[in-house]
Amino acid sequence: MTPLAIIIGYLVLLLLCGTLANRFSRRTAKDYMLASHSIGPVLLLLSLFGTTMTAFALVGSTGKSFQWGVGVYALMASSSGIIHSLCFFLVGVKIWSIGRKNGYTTQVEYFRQRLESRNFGTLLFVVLVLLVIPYLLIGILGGGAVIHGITDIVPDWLGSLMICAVVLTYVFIGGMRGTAWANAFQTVIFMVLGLVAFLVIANELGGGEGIWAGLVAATRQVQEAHPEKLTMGPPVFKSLFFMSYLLIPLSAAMFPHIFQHWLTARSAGTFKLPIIVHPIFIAIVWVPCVLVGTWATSALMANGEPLIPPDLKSVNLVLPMMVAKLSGPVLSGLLAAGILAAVMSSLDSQFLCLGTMFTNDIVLEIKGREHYSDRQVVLLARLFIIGIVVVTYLISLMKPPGIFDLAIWCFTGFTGLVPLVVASLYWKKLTRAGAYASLLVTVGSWIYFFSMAGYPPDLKYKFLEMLPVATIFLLSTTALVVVSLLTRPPSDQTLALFFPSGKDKRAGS
Amino acid sequence: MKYVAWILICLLVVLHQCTFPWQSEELYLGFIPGVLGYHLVISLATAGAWILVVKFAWPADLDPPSPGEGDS
Repeated sequence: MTPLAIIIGYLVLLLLCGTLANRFSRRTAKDYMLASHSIGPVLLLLSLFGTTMTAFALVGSTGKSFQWGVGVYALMASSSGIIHSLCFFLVGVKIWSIGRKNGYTTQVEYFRQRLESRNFGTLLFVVLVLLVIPYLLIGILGGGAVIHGITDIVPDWLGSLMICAVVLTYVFIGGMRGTAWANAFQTVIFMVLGLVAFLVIANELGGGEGIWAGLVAATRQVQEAHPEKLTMGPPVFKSLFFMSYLLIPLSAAMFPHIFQHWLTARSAGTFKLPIIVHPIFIAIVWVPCVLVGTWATSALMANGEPLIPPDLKSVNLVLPMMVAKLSGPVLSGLLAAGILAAVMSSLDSQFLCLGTMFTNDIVLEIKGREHYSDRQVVLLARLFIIGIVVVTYLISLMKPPGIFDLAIWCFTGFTGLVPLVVASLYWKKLTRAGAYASLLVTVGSWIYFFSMAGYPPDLKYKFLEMLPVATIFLLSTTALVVVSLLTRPPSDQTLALFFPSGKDKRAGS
Repeated sequence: MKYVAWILICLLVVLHQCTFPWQSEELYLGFIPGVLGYHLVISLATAGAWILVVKFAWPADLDPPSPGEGDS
C-alpha cells in the first residue's frame, strides 16, 4: 500500500500545480496555448528537458544497458546532448524569432505561410498526428505498466486511466502555463529520484559498506562476470550503425510539441540556458541509469542466484526490479513517481499540442477565426484534447504488440522531416513543390522500410549496415533540393516575412 | 572566436564517433568504465562548447521590436 499512497500523493500534487497555474492565467487563447510568451530560462530548460526525456530515459536506458552494456550512453545520450542543443540553437531560436514576429502558434501555421500553401499544412497536420499517436500510446501503456508493476494491486488499465485523467485535468485547467510548470516540477522529481535510486542501489550492492565502496564493488562484479558489458564492439556496436544513430535525436527539431514550447519563450536570450545545460542534464539522468542496468547483469543475491534473471524478456522491468529487491516500499513508490513524472512530462505537451493544432490549423482555418471568441477557441482546444485522450486510451486497452519498439520509428519519421524545417529557415529557394516532394518521399520510404522491418518491428533491422533513418534523411533532403531547384520559389513578399532585410545575404546563401 | 566555437562543436561530433575508447578496460574513479567516462567527458565538453557558441556566435536582432504584450 505504501507505493500506491506515494503515487496517489504525487498525482494530487500535480493537480495542485495545474490549479495554481490556472490562477496566473490571463484567460486568453494565447495564454492557454503559448503562456503569453512569458516563460523564462529556468522554466524553459526544465520543460524542454522534461518533454524530450520520456520514460525511456529512466526505464528504457536501464533495460537497454542490461542488454547492450554501457555503450548505450554513447549511442543515445552523449549524441543527444550535442544534437538537441544544436536543434535548439539552429532551429528553435530562429523559429521563436519568426514565430513571435508573425504570430504563429503551431508548426502547421508556420509552414502554411512559408510555403504559401494551405493544403501542405493540412497534409503535414495528418502526418504529424500519425507520428505522435504511437508516442502517446507508449506513455500511456508504460505508465499503466509501472503503476501495476510497483503496486501489484492496480491493474494496467486503471493505472493508464489514472495517468490520462491527471494529465488531462492539469492540461485542461492550466493550459501551456500549467504544462510548463508541471513539466518543470516533474523534471526535478525524476532527476532527483533517479539519483536517489542510483545511490541506494549502489549502497546495497556494496553490502551496506558505503556508497563509494558500493559503486566500486558493483562495477568490479561486472568486470569479472560480464566484461563485454563495460566496452563497446560488434555485434551490437559497429561504426556505421553507431553513426546513423546520430540522426535519431535530430527528430527533436520537428516535434510539434517542442515547436510549441519554443514559442513560449520570453525572449531569444531565454534559449541560452537550455542550450548550455541540456547536455549536462542528460548526463545526470543517463549515467546512473546506464550503470544500474549494467550492474544488473552481474549482481547476485545472498544465495548466489542472479538478482535479475539473465533471460529476462521485459528489460524495461530491470530498474523497478532492482529497486524492489534492493530497497523498501518507500523508495519503490518514489521511483514509480519519478517514472510517472518522466511519462507525464512528455504526455502533457503532446496532448496540448494536438489540441492546439486541431483548433488552430483545422477548425479555425476552415470556418474562419472571426467566427470564434477567445473563450470558444480555448473550449475547442479542450474538447479536442479530451477526444484525443479518449481515443488513445481506448487504443491502449487493446495493448497493441511491439508498441514500445515503435518509438524509434516515430523518431525516424520526424527526422525525415527535418530537412524541411532547416531549409525553410535557411534557404530562400525552398519551394512548395520541394516541400511536398520531401514530405512524400519521407512518408513513402518510411512505409517501405517499416514494412521491411516487419511488425512488431525488428529493432535489429538495418539497411546498408545503418538504421533506415539515414537513407530516409538522405532521400528526403535530395528530393527537397532537386525539386526546389526545378520549381518557382515563394513570392518576395512571403520571403520578406522569413528573411528580414539585413540578414538576407546570410540567410539565403 | 565565433568560428572557434563552431569548430569545437564539429570536433565534438567527430570525437563522439571515434572508436578508439570502445575497447578500453580502464575504470575511472574505480567504477566508471573507460568508454562511459570518455562519453561523459564529451557531454561536459559539449556544455562548455555551447557556452562559447552562445557567447560568441549568438545571432543579433532576434527579438522582434516591442510586441506590446506578453512579456511579464
